[in-house]
Amino acid sequence: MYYWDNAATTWPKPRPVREAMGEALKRYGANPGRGGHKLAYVTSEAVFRARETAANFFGLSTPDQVVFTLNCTMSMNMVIKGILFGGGRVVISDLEHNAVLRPLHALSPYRPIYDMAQVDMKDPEKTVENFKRVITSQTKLIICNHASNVWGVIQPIREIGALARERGIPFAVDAAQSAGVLPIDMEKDNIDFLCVAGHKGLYGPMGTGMLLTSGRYPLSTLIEGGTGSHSLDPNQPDTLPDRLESGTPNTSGICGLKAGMEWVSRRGEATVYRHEMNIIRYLYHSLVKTPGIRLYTPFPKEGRYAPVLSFTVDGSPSEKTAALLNESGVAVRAGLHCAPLAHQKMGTENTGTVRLAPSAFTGMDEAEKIVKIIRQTVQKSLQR
Amino acid sequence: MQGWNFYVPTITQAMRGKEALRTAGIRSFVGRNTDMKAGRGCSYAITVPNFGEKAERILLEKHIDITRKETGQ
Repeated sequence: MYYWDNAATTWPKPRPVREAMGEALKRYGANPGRGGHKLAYVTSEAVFRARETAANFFGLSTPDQVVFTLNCTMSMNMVIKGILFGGGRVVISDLEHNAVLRPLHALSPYRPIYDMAQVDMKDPEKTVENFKRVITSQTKLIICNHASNVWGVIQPIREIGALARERGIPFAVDAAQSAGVLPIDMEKDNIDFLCVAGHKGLYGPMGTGMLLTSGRYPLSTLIEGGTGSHSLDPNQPDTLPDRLESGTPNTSGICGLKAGMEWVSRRGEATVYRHEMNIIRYLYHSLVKTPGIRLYTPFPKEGRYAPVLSFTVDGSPSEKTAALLNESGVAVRAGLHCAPLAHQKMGTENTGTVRLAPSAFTGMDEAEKIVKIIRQTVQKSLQR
Repeated sequence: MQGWNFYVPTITQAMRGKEALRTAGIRSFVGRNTDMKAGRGCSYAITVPNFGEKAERILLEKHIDITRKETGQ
């Protein structure tokens, strides 16, 4: 099977990740941060080391501000509902995922509480200007995805973060597609809340995510409960990470995620990115001249695009193309990718697109095979 | 009681404190706070057999939230 659905979750996972998870199940059997026995401390230390690794990876000075979650969606919900507890409006980009759109809609189903800034697919400076234009005195939060999960375009988060900081507005970044692929430094990039998927570019297991906070803005809680601390107090503790982490954590997943971050660091984030972008550029060059295929984005320049490429086949819904590719052993994601705004922007909301997403394990030889298979599939599709 | 006990609110702060002390060459141990009322329920203690004053300075520099301390013999 040719697995090209790495933007949904990377697969295969590196061996150190698999081994770390097995090791955790064998060695870290106690509940971390609860008991006072030796095994509880050893397990707590393993979780602490994962926090340290994440803090170093994303330029945070303290591991206390690393919160483990189930996924990026959960992290986004914690930020959105934690900041907008008392009301207010939000500025978002017009490429946001449903992880942002749906929580906002849930807070106010009949009267949108967000203002949308247009992302310019070619000019990041124009994107910043568009953000500046929609910020008002009512804006309580600015949210921007770092890289579109459909089109790959990278947003100028550092500049948008600077705007937010000038105005004293918290800035949240959805880094689902970029963490582990593009460099992120929370301090330099002016990020207050970084929402991360553990199972994509960081190569951790599914069911892992993180919320990293600058500590500048406290969050109201979505979930309250046991933290192993301040137990006589019926109020949720204020201290991070306990405030935002109730209940037993996914220790083996967290250990796998740590191993994933270390694996990416050893390999080099920039090396992985360049490798994947070489593949994407090859695909772009090959598909742009294939009759019957439509690409929607400009040529994906390094630094401006993340390694995903979406296309459609003339006269064929994306799901049908994906089903044909599946018959040839190619796994891709079609449809709307849980990002209706991104599709509405490019007029693909009725057909969806087929998304190709390589990983660090994808070879150029595989890319060459994929191009052949896609071309054959287009032929079949056009003949039917 | 031997040494100094520094009480901190979370296991993460306890681990971070222990790590900071280790880097400074000071041996310490993390344990549960045995005085439930003092820690408003469950909390943690960093026990330092020696160099208590230096340890306290390091913990404060690292923004460890010392909720209470016991200076031993």
